[in-house]
Amino acid sequence: MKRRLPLLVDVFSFIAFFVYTVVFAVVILYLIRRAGFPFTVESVFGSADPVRALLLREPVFDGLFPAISGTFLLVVISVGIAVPVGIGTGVWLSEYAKGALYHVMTLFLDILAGLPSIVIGLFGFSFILLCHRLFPGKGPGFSIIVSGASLSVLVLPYLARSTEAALQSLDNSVKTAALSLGASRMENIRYVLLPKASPSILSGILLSIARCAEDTAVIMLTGAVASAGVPSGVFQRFEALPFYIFYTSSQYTCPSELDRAFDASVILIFLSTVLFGVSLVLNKTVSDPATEGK
Amino acid sequence: MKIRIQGLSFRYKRAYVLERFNLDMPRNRITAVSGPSGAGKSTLLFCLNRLWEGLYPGNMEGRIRSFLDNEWVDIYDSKVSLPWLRQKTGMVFQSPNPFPMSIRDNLLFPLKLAACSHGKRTAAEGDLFAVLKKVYLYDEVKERMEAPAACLSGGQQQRLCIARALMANPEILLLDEPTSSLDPVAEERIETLLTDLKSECTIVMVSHSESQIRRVADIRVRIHPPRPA
Repeated sequence: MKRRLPLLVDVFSFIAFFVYTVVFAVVILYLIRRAGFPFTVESVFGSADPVRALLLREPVFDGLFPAISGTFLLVVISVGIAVPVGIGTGVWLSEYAKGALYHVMTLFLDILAGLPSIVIGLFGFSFILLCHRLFPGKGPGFSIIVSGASLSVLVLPYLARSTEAALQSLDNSVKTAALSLGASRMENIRYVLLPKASPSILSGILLSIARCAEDTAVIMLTGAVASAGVPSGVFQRFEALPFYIFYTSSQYTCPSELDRAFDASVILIFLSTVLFGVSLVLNKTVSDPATEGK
Repeated sequence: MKIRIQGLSFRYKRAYVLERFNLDMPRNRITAVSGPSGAGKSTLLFCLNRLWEGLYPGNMEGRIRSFLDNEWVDIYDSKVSLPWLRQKTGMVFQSPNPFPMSIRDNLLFPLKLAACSHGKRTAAEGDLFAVLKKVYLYDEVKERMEAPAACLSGGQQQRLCIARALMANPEILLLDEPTSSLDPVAEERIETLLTDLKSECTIVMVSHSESQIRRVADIRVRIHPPRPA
């Protein structure tokens, strides 16, 4: 039995990989077939003029453009908030935090990372209710800014922990080289540690972008609606691809409406694939050639 | 003399790594420190430029004085500026650690730091090339000064790290097993370089290789781990 165990593990690994790949390929091919890839201009802009719609001079009522632009804006806001805070937290954890405070903070971040996104959505929802109670008619309501801020809470632990891991994985002599030349701790972090760890940090950022782009639970409780058009400001309600898919697939009245949901899902997959592709390319180009292949 | 160590003890928590260690190191000589793993060789180097501070939860007792800028300085005196001390006491590590920037920027890095701490930055192209020639790297990199330093071979990277340390004009150069990760050809080049450099600065080198110590060292020091209490 002991002799056969490695063979069994190999066979099991191969079968698992094969089944997973086939299922994944079948689902993707089915989605693409249903969506009628490649998309027509109509599926994105509906009956509106594409150029005027892109310039926000004509509203789009029956296309995916508001959901695509809403998703894009949502990602920009959430990642814009999460990246500086997350990287800062990661740097602090790796380079400054010590003893009990470190353990408390990492425990807190790990718990936060394990929270279901609906709980983060409820957090944003409660925040809006609290603002309504404290500042009636003045506080931020259901809007893209609250959704973005809530999503930033969702991805913050990933960013902080991935930054911390990236910095801690650096060789000790790299960490001390600049210090030995007279650099301060901050100069060391700025000129050596962060650039050296940037491939891993960039991967963390891109994964966070993908996470923000695909989450539904948070935005449906904090500001996403089925038809809001392109948001004219950050305090407006908005449309987003994942919510559009959820809403359309659960409320469709005719097959053509359901096909729209498939269109949106393929766009979302395409967006995620592009992001992962960019992540891989950045990893290759930014990473230190000396350490590659070792 | 260049460095005077008196009654140096160093402990991590309760475990002593160095205990009541005394040593005088003469100027413009290569002092080679050897000993078994855990004997405190690297810790000794880290004590000479205070690099352990803020990095390791250690505790140091004793006195270390270095003859820097023509006067004896108690390097643990609160008046001593850490950037100044570390610019005067350069260090090269076991594995090559070029910064994630170009060859030129690696060499200019110590000057950039000096500009931040003293407000001066003077490096002509000639200075860079002079240092590169000193470490026998000029011919190999003169055409690609803007290339990432990580593109160099291991031996070239280590010589670049020595050149980078030399850019700050150190009076003391600490080397922590500088050839242990290199092939014999690169090792020989570094040894020749060290022999040349001792006319300019005092070198303290940790090495596991007895043959290397015989080849390059003027003074040999063997340290042993303290006996457990």
